Amino acid sequence: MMPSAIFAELRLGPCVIKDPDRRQSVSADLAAATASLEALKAKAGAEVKDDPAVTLMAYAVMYQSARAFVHAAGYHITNFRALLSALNELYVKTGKLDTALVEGLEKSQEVGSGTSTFIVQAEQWLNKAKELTR
Amino acid sequence: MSLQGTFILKGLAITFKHFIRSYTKGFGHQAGNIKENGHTVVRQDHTHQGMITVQYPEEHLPQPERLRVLPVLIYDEADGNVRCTSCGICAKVCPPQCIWIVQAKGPDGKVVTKPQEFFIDTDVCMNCGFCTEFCPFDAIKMDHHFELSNYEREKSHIYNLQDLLVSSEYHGKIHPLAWKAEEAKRAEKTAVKHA
Repeated sequence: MMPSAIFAELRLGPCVIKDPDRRQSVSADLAAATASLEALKAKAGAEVKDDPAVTLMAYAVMYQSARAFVHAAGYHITNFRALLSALNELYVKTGKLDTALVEGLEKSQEVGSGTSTFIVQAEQWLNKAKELTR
Repeated sequence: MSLQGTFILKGLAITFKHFIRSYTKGFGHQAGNIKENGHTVVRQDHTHQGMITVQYPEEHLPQPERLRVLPVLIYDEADGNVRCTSCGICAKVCPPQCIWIVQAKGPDGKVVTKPQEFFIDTDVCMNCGFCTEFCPFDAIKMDHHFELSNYEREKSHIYNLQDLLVSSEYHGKIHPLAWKAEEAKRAEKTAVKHA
């Protein structure tokens, strides 16, 4: 996968597939993200401390919500760089998604500090994804 | 003293042999190929012979499953979980040393079994596949994408973690037999764990 942030270039590669049928899987993606968020909240508890395991759970919620966004646009993407690029091109540039949320998706992979921020962002991701299907 | 002109007959025989093999070992020899909608998408038979013209780049020859181009890291399609645990075995075993990994650290400074950074210098990579053979977690696999040329290498030929990550679904699509075997092993492990 060539390092490129330009979605137009990545669309020519093997990891970005135009597939309008994927729109039907948005509800399944949201259901998976909702279940992951519930598990995350149960694990995090009331007092949130910096915990890599919890950060990874927040990352899973963000990833599943991001997948719903991409499927809703009629794409199936199998590379992470292409996923981030698609989100920027299709949603951040049109104002439907915040840059901070997309950056949070990338940063949460690093499992450093900031677990509470990632939990908040995970919930925001899911809420934004649910707005898509309304 | 040999008969004059026998070399012409030998040449014609070779041409005829190639012509026949185009049908018997080219078009006809499709054993084990993975097809999608009637088209071969992954070749298993690497002994494909015969003189078949492929109008590249408009047409692409389906790649054999065993083809090795560049390594990619695998994340689970279902939840985005990056399989790599930053153990460093691939970096150690790489002959040209083209892989370098930074382990993730938790807020308490302890190592977390995830990569914070993962770089591969693809111009140094010799496509040997040792990294994939030695990885104990099925986290790194060889990709089939080879159309990678560019005008410079510093930006476009050094891949970072996000560039390398591909989903398990992609891996299963280009390595169907290997994927089947891995999933069977994984299911067996899970069954033993829950037993």
